[in-house]
Amino acid sequence: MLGTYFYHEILRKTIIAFGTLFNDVHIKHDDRSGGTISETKVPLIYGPKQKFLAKLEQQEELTKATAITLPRMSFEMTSMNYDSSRKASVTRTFKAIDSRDPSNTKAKKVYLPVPYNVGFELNVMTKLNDDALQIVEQILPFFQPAFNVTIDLVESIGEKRDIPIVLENISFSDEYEGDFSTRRVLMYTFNFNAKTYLFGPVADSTEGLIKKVQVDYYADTNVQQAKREMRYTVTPDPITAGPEDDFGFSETTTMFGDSKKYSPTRQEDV
Amino acid sequence: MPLNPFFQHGSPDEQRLVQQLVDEQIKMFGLDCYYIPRKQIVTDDILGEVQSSKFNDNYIIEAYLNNYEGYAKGSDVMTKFGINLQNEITLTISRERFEDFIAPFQFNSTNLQGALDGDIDFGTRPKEGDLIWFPLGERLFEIKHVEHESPFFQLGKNYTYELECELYQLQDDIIDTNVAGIDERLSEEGYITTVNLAGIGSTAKASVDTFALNGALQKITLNDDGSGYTSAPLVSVSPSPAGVSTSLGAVVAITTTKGTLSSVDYVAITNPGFAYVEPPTIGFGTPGVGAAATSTLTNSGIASIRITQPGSNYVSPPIISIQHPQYVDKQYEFTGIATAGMMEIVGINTMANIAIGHTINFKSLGAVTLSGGGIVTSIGSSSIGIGTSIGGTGTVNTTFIGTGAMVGAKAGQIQATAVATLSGSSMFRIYLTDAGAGYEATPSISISAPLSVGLGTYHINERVVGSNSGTEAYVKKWDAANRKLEISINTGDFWPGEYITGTASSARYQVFSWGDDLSSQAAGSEFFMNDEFESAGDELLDFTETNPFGII
Repeated sequence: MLGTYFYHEILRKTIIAFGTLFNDVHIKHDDRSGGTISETKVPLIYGPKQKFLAKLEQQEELTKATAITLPRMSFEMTSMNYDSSRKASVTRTFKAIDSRDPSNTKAKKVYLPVPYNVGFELNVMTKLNDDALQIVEQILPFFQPAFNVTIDLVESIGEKRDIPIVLENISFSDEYEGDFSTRRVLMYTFNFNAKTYLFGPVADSTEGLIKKVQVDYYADTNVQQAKREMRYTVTPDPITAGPEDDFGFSETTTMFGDSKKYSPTRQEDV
Repeated sequence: MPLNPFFQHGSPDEQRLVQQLVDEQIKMFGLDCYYIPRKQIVTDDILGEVQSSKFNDNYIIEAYLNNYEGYAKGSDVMTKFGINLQNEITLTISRERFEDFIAPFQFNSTNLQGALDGDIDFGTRPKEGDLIWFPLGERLFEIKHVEHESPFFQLGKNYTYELECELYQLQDDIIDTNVAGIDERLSEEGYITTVNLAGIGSTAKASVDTFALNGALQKITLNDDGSGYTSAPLVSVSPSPAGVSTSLGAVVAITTTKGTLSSVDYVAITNPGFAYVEPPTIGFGTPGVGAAATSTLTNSGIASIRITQPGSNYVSPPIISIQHPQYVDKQYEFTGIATAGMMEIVGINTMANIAIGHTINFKSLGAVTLSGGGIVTSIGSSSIGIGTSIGGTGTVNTTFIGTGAMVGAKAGQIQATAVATLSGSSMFRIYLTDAGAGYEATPSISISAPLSVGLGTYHINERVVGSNSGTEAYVKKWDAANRKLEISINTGDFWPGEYITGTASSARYQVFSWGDDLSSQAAGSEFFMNDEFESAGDELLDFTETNPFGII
């Protein structure tokens, strides 16, 4: 029943979009005369990994001369919750043009998406408190409390949606107490919610792109007897324009005195 | 109750004996380690942190390894941030040996730029925060605790320091011990950036293919640069009356961006067309609006330029210089009659563009012997008189052919200008920004030279400085064969084209390309994914605004 294969990679795209936000954070160390001692771009990683792969990649030589190099940032997806506040009708569909069709004529049909909140946890680990404060200050002002990114969620229909990424809360731990056998660990944790949408399968629509609208006017409400007397038609200008193009409209109004009616089945006046 | 005075809890001689026994034991069963003291460069007194340190001394000392059975199990931990090694060791060193051979030398240091006197802490004991180079496995440990009372006052005195150490967490501290084995091993650690330096390049070459087409585009003058041109718009040129495809002028718009505003910078000519009677109209396509331009025609401009050699090693498009028409030699061919004292030349049809002041050089034709030349002094209706001040000999009343060189500017001459684009590090295309006017012969084109190879050998851990950016960094590794310089602790970005000079070695090379410090090609890239997110995000994110976290 649910066996139609589709995979829009929406959750993967949401992970990438989230990661892109934090991949260019820098910290600086200054000397006392105001000069810069170092400027470091803070490394970012998606935390979960296959353990063996991490071992092979990161500890290839087995005897690494030092421990982990700091500062670092890491994030991971932590939860997925249905968001009833953004619920839309379950039976409504919408159509879009197949963005991969060069002729711009093939229509696609898809049901309205299901709104989901995807939880993310961003962790910042630093050696110095000042480094952490620099990173935190570069992140917080952009979330009031949300920051919108526009993601091309379903490429086949060119469906771009604004996904608000909401900063829910921040916590940090600074384990500086205790005996001297343990190292101080400084870690800041940000919790975010990305308000994304999950789309179902995209089907080919038998209906094409509407390129002409025609309205007939009658002089009487009894359309069985009355004949159309005026016709208003609208077409895009130019007629070859696609949905993404910049186009106008051609409007035509025609008066009739020939006592005919339009037959939708024959698509002509009879 | 007082102690029994007949028993002594350790005389100085006994204490001395014990100390020597301890020292001897450590020398027999210990390891030679390097003790590397920390020099505090910058401290934050409010947050209570040492923000920058330098480790540039080393003292060899024997130490007994307490945990001779190895590191504790489970020292390699998978964390959110990658694999974190938490290996720990405990070393015992002789108190007397440390106080005699290391402590006295901890009185002087070289401060980093900007550090003030008094930054350095002195001490007569091993200090927490100092480093130990552990030869087994070649690892760097940081002392986290010094136990000075174990064993507890044997014969009334303590003889050893017990150093509890854990693997060092590297950041941007400078470690330059002058011990080759240590420095080379650590050259692979930390955040490292690779700078590609220029090698031997070749200068691009180009020549004018055709010129002086009638009714060709000379220049497109931008009257309104418009707005919203986030990508180059298509630019249309109205057709030429000649009606053939090659007669249609073709131009290309080059856009510019400042902040979030994008507009047309200039319009360059890719094909000037020909046979236009009136300057063609120029139209701009999407994505922006408002751009407008007018065109100018020429009958004696450059029509096309051929790249004969694309060159290599360019980091920015080379500067194209096209000869001004006044300096272009025009080779005239004419027939003339030489008369005594005055070379009089007839047949002006072949010399339509000659002017007073032009130099004429004679050349021989067949059996006629001619040499020298002269300057045009007057132009008659059917002949041109040439002064003989330069000389010129020939057979009187003999028809001959001569050549001429144009000297001096004439009215209406405009120098052509062009810009180049790059593909990789080679020249890709040349666009005319002004086809010029008044060209009577093919001008030559000169192209600026690319980066040249530098000289010298960078030293490990020396400080290097960028000539234009002023950026400083420390050398981690120098690959002379491939001209790759690995650096760390840099104060900013290096700029392509600038010189990087070693402050100790004086090695000097030009920067060819500068990778982002966390690019996927950088050393240690298995620990970060910044570039991967950026490139994957470019495909699916609609960042009409740039990434806000990278912009100030």
